[in-house]
Amino acid sequence: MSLPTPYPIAPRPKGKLAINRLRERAPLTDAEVEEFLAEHEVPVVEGPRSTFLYRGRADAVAVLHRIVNQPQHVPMKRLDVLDGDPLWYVTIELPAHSRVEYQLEVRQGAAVEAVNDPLNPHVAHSPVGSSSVCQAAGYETPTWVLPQPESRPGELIDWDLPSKALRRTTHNRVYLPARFRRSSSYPLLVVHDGDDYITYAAMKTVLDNLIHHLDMAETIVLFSNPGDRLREYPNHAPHARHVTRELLPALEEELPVVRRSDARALMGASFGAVASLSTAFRSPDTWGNLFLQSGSFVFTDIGSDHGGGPAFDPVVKFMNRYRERPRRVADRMMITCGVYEPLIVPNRSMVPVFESTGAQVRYVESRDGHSWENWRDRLRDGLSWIFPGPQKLVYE
Amino acid sequence: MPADPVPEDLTADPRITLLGPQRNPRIGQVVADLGLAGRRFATITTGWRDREADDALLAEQLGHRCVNLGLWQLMQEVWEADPELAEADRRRRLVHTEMQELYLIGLEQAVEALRRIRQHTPRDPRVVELAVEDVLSIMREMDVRHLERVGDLNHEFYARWEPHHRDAVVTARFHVGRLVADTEAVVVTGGHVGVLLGALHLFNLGPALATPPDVEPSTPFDRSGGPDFGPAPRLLRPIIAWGAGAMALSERVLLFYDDPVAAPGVSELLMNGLALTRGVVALPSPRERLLMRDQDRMRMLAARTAPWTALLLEERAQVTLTADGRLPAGARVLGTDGLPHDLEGAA
Repeated sequence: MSLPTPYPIAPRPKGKLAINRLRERAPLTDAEVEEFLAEHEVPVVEGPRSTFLYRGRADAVAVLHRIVNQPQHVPMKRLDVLDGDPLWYVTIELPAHSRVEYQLEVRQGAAVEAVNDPLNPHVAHSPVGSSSVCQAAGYETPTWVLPQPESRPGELIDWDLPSKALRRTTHNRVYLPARFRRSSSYPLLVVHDGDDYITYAAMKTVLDNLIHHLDMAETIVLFSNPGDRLREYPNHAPHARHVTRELLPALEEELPVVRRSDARALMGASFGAVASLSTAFRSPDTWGNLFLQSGSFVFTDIGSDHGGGPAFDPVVKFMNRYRERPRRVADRMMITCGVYEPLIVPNRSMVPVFESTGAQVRYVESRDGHSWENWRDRLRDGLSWIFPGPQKLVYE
Repeated sequence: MPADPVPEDLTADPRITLLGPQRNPRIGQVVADLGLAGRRFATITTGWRDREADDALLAEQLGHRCVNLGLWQLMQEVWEADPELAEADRRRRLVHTEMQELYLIGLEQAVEALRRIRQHTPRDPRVVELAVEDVLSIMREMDVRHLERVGDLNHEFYARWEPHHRDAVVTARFHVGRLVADTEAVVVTGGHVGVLLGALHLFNLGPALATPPDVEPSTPFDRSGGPDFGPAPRLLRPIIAWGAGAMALSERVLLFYDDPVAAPGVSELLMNGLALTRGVVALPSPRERLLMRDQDRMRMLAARTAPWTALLLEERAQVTLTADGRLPAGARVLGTDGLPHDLEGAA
């Protein structure tokens, strides 16, 4: 089942844009520009229009954003300042509720540098580094990603496990929900890129909040971490063997987890989603639920030239083979993807393929990119669907 | 209808008192208001599941003159002592869950139909009203059938596995009966309504709380078409309940939450309750759980619960039912217009 995300229309403010009001005061002084910058958050978001700014000497400045199917290099205009560095600006129309990652390209002579926006404190983290973020009109950080005093905190415990399959010791963390009791039984969620989910997607806080508010069942969560991520995650047999034949039995031995496939889930983002999918593919009937965020499900319909570089070779081989003969890998699949990331096309394409296997598929898109914040903001949709809490049954 | 004041001695003329949520507990004050201070209470905190025994605050509010029936713990002991019954009960719950899921799919489709009908720009508003009424009528029919099927499922379970004849259950029921017999009033807290009802049925708390009426109502309507819920069971001791406890005591248990993250936001009947009330559907914490400002939605909810009256149990609500288990005048209810009202006469 695919879900359109309802976005309310952001109000369109009347009158001139702030940058245009400033331009009318030209010639500008340094003090006027500094006052303007002090008064406004950058980018300056006014209804659907966002004005990007840069202060400094350069030959050219441009916004490099990462919205797929849009010109990604947007030159900025120069506004001279009488007694100081020039101000560069450009206004871009962005749909309401968007989060757009971008950097500024500053050219000085032959030197070209892409930097995060020094005027914008908002930064997004992705597996390939950080970038600035423009939060368009209507976007708000969900309250459930922030620590809430009333939410009882769960516990994170370091948990190392030697792996014969991977020929290394794996470093994991186990999340035990608040008021954990050995006499109870809990569903199990195994998370790829675990430390990144904890650090960049606030996942422990999210778990604490969702469980406290009964949005999600009390769950034991295993945060696993890769060694060589680009080798272990794209359909790597030893990784799948480790997760299903080493990690799972060890967890079942150690902790009171429900020993049924419908009470188990694998999740991951980007290559971590591929690792989740391929692990479940290799062990049918073991993992009943998958939560796949911005999966790197790159495939080719003709030939094998995918343009993603050698890291994607095993992914493409796996996905092409899977698309030739799709079969059910899990009973329930939660898939999320940002509409501004290039992976939106393969993710959209895979939804009907997964549905054709008889799996129950829930697909959610967001006006966002390939970043931890996007994946963080979709956690509630996914986790509460995979392991729903008893909210509708509990009345205090 | 003449007013039915709360009697001075509730132990002589027992009533049910339904409260709003007790996050900031007022139960001690309520007990005093009802003239029950110093009485010995049986407490049922089964809805708290494995935290059932964490009842120190409740005991303090009741002046420590209370005994927790410990039904959740007893239930675990029964399952452990009688694995065959435990497995049968697990299967019953699985079938119930599946029934609930399929019933919900139907309700979702009906809600979608209502949404589309309401979006339609009418050439004649009566046509839209008729179409809405048709969908509501289908939903009510689905509600009734679902309750019947769940009732049949539970009946089959009790008929086939006869828990009342199994040693572990018989022993536990005897134990519970002894505990209740030694008390003068009962408190049923909130929590997980499914678990609570399961335990109340397994340990047969209904007869411990009230004697059944002489005549069971065959239909909620009398010949004139007005609501007729028949006589209520005669309470053996006063009962104070809130949250899931209030729902479990009433005739029909309606699950509701209009802002679920993943589940569809349509209210659904879970099963029949203990039916110690007459004409009441309890809705605890309505402002937190319902989109009260969406009048169409609330009107739909009121239409689905009719002829039972949806009782709104807000934070400081305190509603003592009449001797025949009905709502008293002044109770805050959801009107058929989708708005909250104070009940004018007893319902």
